Amino acid sequence: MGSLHPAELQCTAEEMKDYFLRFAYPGQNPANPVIDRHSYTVGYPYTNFPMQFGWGAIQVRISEDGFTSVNTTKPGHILYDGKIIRHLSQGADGAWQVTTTGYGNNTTVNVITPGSPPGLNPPNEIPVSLSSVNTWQGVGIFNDLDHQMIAYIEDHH
Amino acid sequence: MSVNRSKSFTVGYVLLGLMFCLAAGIVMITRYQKMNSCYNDRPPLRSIDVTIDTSQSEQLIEQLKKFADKNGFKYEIAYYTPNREDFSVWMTRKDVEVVISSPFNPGEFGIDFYNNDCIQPTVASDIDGLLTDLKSFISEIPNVTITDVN
Repeated sequence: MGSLHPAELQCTAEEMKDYFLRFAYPGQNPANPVIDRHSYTVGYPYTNFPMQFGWGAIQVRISEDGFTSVNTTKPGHILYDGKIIRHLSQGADGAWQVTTTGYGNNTTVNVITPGSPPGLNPPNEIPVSLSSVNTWQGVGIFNDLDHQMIAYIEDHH
Repeated sequence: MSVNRSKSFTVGYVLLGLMFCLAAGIVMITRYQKMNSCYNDRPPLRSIDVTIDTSQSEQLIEQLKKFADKNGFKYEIAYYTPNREDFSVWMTRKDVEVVISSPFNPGEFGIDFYNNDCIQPTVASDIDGLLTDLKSFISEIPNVTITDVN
């Protein structure tokens, strides 16, 4: 997956890194850039409404240079276990590109059911596999995130 | 007359029932929100970085499992590569969550402790003993490097 941020916008590396961290995961509020090692909750697909019951739990890591972020899904996440790697790079023509790759095991996971929020011990769990949804919608979800990022840059640059 | 009174009682009971359901719903939603209020953005309470040789992955996993068993954590591991060098480990209990992952380079792991209780939050000083214990287990691996991050 990848998206282009046109050269005519003339964004600097520092500006792009700032924008990049505002669109690190689906459902992120761009007012709050991600911070390395923080734990977040992704939104329901194509919304900014955070998923409940631990269904969207991820940890975000950011590389020292700020050009790569890694989202790791936690147990309970509907797409556990997997990693999403987003990388920001600039082409020879000055255009910026965000490349998103993902991999994981698409396992059947025990999802905490409504009425048993995270923190309860023991939680009620049901086995769920959404591997087909991951394959089917994963690209679209992150393309949507990139489109939001482009719109944000155009509005704020 | 009695029919009207009976109707009034029925309407009254229905209204009372609806009010009770509404109140119970508000209480449940408020409690749910409180229990989950801290999950949208959690900073780590403490973090360390651990570097091992990739051939020592199984030793690290073994030490992490020992730590989890000793301290009452639920333990989960996910392998991302067939050679089992790229993996993440999650340890959870009611008050604390520990995440071990290697996001960038094989053999380089970040270990982060998080509060896991929104109502009675765990603070950094609460986990000093856990961190010391984990470091002790990991330091049994030959030539391991442990670096405090915060």
